[in-house]
Amino acid sequence: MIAVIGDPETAAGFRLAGVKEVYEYSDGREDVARVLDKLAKEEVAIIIINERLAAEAKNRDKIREINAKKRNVIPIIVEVPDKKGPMVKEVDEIGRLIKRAVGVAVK
Amino acid sequence: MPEIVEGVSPTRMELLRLSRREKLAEKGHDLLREKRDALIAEFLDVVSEVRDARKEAEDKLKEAFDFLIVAQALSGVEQVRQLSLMTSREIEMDFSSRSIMGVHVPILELENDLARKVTERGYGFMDSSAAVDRSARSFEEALEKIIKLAELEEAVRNLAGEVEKTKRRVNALEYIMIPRLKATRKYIRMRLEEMERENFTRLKKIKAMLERRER
Repeated sequence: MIAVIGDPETAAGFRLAGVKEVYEYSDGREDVARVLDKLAKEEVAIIIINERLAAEAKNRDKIREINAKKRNVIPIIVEVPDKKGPMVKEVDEIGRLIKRAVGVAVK
Repeated sequence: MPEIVEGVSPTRMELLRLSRREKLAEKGHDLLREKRDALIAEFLDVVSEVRDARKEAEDKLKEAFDFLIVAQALSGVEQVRQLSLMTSREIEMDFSSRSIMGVHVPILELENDLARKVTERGYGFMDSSAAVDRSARSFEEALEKIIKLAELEEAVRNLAGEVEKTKRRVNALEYIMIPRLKATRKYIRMRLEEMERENFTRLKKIKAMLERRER
């Protein structure tokens, strides 16, 4: 099962593609962390989330927690850009992983 | 000088046990080092794939958003929203995992193509437009790419974790465990030699005493 958490445009788009579980957030106010928790419990396979939402401190912590806690390979959380395009990230997740695994940054 | 293993008594038995442990540690170290190298090779492979996959997914998604904005401009935001509510379906996915040197890496397989025909989407032709079709189409394609990306990113995360763990173990063996065993072995050997020398002088002394008494 696939779930999407995103702004109205992202939500509409993925609904058009046929995704059922779509959570729409017009603002950063709502509790995305709680939705993430709920989805993780429901054993959703893939959670697609907007980068901008994922980057909020509380949600970022929650994503880390879910990733650290999971025994199985699911849920997989993927961050995708919203309509404004990819964000410039302060920490490049993959780059950081490479640095820690190999010891040097590989481009 | 590395410290020695605590709580060992300087005996020959202990010395034998230690050299067995040291051999085992060295064997383990070699195996783990091989595992680490293989994992890093695999990891770097997946990393280069993941970068391409992300680029592709992001490009496709950008295109999809562009179409969506056109569709919203033509039919109205609310109308597109209404249409989007009609198109939900079950996405059948096969979920399995393969193992690379003991690391579980997910494999996601879609049972059928995500891209649908216009007639399969479930909204009426009267209310929709070509622009809506086009954006639905691109989102379906983007979703497919994102699923692929999810699989790869997860693989990278899991592999990185395992590489790190293996590296830590290799280093612990190489820089702590093995030197410590070596140092302990050396300590016991020296203690045994020292005891032997003590014994030797003691025997000499006793022998001299006995000889004096006999005279």
